[in-house]
Amino acid sequence: MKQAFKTWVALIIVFLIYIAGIFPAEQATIKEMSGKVTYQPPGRNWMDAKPGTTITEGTIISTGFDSSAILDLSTSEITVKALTRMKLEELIKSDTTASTSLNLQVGRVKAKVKTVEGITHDFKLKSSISTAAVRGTEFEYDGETIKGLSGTVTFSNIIGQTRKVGAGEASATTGVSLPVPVEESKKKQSDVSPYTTTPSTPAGGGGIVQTSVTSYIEEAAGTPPTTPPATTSDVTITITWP
Amino acid sequence: MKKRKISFFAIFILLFFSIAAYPFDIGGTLDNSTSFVTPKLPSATRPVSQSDKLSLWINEAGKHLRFDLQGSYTFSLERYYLFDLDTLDFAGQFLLRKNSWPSFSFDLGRLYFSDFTANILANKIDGVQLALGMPFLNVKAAFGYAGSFQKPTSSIIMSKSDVADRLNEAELWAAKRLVGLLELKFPDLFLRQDLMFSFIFQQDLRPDANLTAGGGRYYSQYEGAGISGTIVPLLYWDSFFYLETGKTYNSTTGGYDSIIAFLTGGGLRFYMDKVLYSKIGLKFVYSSGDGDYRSFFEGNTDKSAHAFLPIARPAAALIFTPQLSNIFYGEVSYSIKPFSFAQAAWLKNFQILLKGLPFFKSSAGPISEPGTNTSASTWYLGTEADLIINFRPVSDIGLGVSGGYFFANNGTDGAFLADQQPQQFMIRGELSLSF
Repeated sequence: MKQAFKTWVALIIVFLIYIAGIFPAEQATIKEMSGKVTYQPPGRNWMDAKPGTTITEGTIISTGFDSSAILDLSTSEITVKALTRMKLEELIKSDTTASTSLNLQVGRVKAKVKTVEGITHDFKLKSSISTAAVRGTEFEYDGETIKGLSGTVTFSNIIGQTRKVGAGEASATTGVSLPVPVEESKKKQSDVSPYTTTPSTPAGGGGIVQTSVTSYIEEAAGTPPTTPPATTSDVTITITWP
Repeated sequence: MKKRKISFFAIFILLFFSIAAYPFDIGGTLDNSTSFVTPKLPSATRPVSQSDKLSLWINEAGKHLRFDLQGSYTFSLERYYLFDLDTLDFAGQFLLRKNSWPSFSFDLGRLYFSDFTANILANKIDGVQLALGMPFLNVKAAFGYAGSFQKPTSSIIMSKSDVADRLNEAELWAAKRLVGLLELKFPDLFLRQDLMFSFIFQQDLRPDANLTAGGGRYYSQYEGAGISGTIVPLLYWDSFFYLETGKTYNSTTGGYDSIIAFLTGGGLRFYMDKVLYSKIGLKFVYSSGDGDYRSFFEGNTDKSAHAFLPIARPAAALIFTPQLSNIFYGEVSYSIKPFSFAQAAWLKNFQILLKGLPFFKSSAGPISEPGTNTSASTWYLGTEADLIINFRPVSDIGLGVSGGYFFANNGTDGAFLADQQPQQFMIRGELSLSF
């Protein structure tokens, strides 16, 4: 009985080693950093990071004010910007696949995901309200807003509605709202409205809206109009949910 | 009436500052618009127009619920005081299953209803709006009443009786209409394109006793589809089509005729971020007309009416702003932000926009603007050129200066009579402050 038990334990250990060999846990390395950067491996206390520090799966990395860190994940590079906290949830790599899942708790990151021939890379960057899934691209992400820098990012909200965000485009969501069409980010960059948008401003825009009834009155009723034509201001998108 | 309006404003101010003691977000805006047009139309009382609007708003937003309230006072040369409730919105947004679809949202109160083009419906309505979000589909349904607005704040004019009410100073309120909207949106359905379907209706509730002589009620429904999205990075497009059905009064027969009319349009926009955030735009809109109409409203004389008439009244240009009925226009535009890359941050939000818009009639029938030459053989109405400069040095101050020239086709056999619609020049200044 004792011998059988020992055999089973040995087999289980061999099996676990085998599994670990098929899906070896990937490690990230802090390539560069500035300011105050700390990290917390699973089940351990916070420690100060330095260039060359190895970050394993399950580690939380945190940057202070005016600080940053660049993580090298071999198939991707993550720039963790100031006042950011991010957890490396999954880092797995084999000969043909790489699976990376990062959870952005607060702050902003820039990600550059490399396309490596022969390797299928499933890269996900998540927050509590959205997910950015990429392959061979570069983007910036702060949990609510994503800015594409190269390639195409699939940006989705909590209920799975998605937008593809290309280079030079951006989208945003409050979590439940549909990710904003990418052209809206271009309009925001190129258009200027003289009117201020308030939380109560409808999507039709602010400013003074006057009805224009001059011609109707003249033609239909034969009397002079009294109000000259006026125009409304530009359309403005306002996300009112925090 | 004046005492009632002042009392209403006083109550609003007291309420505003009482509520302000609570942890709400509050603020206000002061907007000014001053314009000068020359020569003025024969029907206009003065060439100068000036309006000032003071708005106060309150906003409280929690995790799932939100409350928005905005009231305003507007002064203009035509009307010294106009107090209005601009927005009253009690809203909520929820997930019906934890961290999963569908999402449900509602808005209740004085809301802005708009279809996906903002050409058919773009109006404030008192009512309710519901929306359901699913991975591949957003559904929006809205229903409300348009008759509880003061006349100057409503742009809904669809019949001769509506026009008569505008002239009647004893009538304070806008036309009594029910408005409904159902919209389906498939975001990023294929190749980064959004597909939209829309159904809108408006029901004229005017009682028989309030119908003007020679006029009736106007009932309409609008069934539409549209597509928009990315063609290639930085190049975007949209296209739409609406069919209008319904009934319009025929003063010749004393009965009602069926409406079959349509509106279509599209646009292309190309963004050049590296060239000082320039943008080139091309656009066209075509609304059907009816050659046998005797007047713009309820002018049909044969069995079916083919002149499209939307609920909203979008303004395409600065000077010439006909209703989107029996009109076809194009637009070419170019905008640039010349100081985009300046060191001084306050200079970056400076935009110059140039637009050229040729206008045509779609049929021999009438348009909403006066002074047309009914015996003209041409349908070319004229072209407008606009130059618009917008500047926002800081987030709380906005400035706008616009100038436009309308080259009306008022020559021999022109679409307009020269003394009724001359070539016109307009300049407008706008200022917006927020606090």
